[in-house]
Amino acid sequence: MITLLLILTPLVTGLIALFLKQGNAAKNFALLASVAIAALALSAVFAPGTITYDASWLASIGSRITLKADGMAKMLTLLTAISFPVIFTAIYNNTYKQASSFYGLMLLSQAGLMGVFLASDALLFYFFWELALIPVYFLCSIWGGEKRIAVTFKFFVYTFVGSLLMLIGILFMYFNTADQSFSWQSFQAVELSAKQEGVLFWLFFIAFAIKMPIFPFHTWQPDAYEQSPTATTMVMSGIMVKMGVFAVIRWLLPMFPTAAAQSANLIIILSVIGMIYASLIAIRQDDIKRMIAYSSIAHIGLMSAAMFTNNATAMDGVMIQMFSHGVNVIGLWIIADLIEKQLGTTNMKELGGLAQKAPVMAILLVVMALANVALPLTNAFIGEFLMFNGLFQYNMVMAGIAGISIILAAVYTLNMVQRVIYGNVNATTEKASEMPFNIQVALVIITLMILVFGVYPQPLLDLTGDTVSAIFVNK
Amino acid sequence: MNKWYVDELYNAIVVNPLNALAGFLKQVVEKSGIDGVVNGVGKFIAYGSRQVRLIQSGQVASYLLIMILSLVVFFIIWFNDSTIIGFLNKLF
Repeated sequence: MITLLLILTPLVTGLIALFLKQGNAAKNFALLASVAIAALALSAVFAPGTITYDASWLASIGSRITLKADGMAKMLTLLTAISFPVIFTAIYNNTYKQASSFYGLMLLSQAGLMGVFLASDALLFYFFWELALIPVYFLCSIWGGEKRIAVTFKFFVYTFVGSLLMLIGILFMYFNTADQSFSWQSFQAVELSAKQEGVLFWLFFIAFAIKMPIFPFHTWQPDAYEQSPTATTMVMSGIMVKMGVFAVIRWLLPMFPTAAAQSANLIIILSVIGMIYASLIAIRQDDIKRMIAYSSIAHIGLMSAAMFTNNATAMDGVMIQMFSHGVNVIGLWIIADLIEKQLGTTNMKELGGLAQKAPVMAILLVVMALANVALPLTNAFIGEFLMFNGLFQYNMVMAGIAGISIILAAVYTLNMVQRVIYGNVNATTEKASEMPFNIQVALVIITLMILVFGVYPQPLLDLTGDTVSAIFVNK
Repeated sequence: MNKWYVDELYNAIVVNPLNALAGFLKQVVEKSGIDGVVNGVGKFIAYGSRQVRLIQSGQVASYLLIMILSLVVFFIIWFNDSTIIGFLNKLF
């Protein structure tokens, strides 16, 4: 029941928020709703074992509302549930035109994300996969930057092409299930020829690869991150990209183990190329937002490579990193948004000297930056270490090349810190002031998570352990 | 002692080549290469639609021609449907 509530609460509160007359009321209502959802997700995390829910939906074609919250799903619903109150707190002082629509759509996208992470029925999964995309489309195209229409159009068409390939795959699988159902168990049990498995693997994988995104399917991302309203960018980069990683682990690997093993080399090579490639491009970015976007592609590349190493340690790392990257990148976006709101620019050429004007912000930016480099004592270190460990066992040369991206991450991240907070105050940064209270609250929550899980990641490992052992028990 | 020119050495061997490579990737490979292909697909479809639109010329004679051609295609499919389905099945 709690799994159903995790989806229904954001859905219903989102619909209510859409129809609230006053923007301020919608804002407070959305914040309260998101806190309630976070409490729900926390209680799901502390409930023992896998929580399931099953109800009839489309009986004639054998699709049911089957929800399953195992460790990985609990962790990602928790990430989703924590992110939204943090985001709503951070943007509390921002003003949006038609604020009730804005907050309503944000909550609806949360409902879609929850559904994706919980669905254990392929049609339901596809339904939520699209449901998560549609509110984001409106959020970007109504509240985005100057080039929002063209960028959102590209983003939508790109991800939609992937989704349709997946839909074809889902239909093919459905007609080959023994009991004509969309359930995860039936999909996993489908007998396929090697040729069919090869084709189906790519139909699904391209959809997930676009969403993550991995090289070379990534070009929608920097534009979309830059042009979307920052609150939406936080949702996209913190949570939505995890949909792709999640879907590979939940659906792709169990359905097509042979094809996955055959394609592993190719995908790992692509991912590692993508890591180096995105890191190098990040070095040359002058805009903070675009730098974070490319940095994000590099981090996702490592997760994608680690998933296909067929190694339990690496998979543990992917689990932790999904959570950590979500938290850290939201922290970076909050600071980027603050700088943009205060100074009207995120171009690093025009910034500098913020440490003198806003010391607390400078300290917190350094914490987020070090977490982005995956320094020990930050949460990202644990995940990256485990993933590199697994990648090293798979192939030393690959691990070595991928390791260069850590150095490059230090180059672009610390370079950003240097250009933004050090140096002399100039005409633009003259008007900077210390961050307001609500942003401090949001960033302190994130800093706490960075440090706590950086020192003691065991609770996260315990939470997702059942998913990882279930993947490797059959092998 | 000019720091034994260590900084200069690093700049020459590591920093500058890496920056040049990164600049090349950003300006050429990313913008014109990968994103060029993605945007190219979109442009190609837009171009194709513009060309197809020209078929709607408003001239009854050309509509008549298209109608006859469509009928021919229709009958070809009508009498060969099993062959076509068989071919499609062989593909997948």
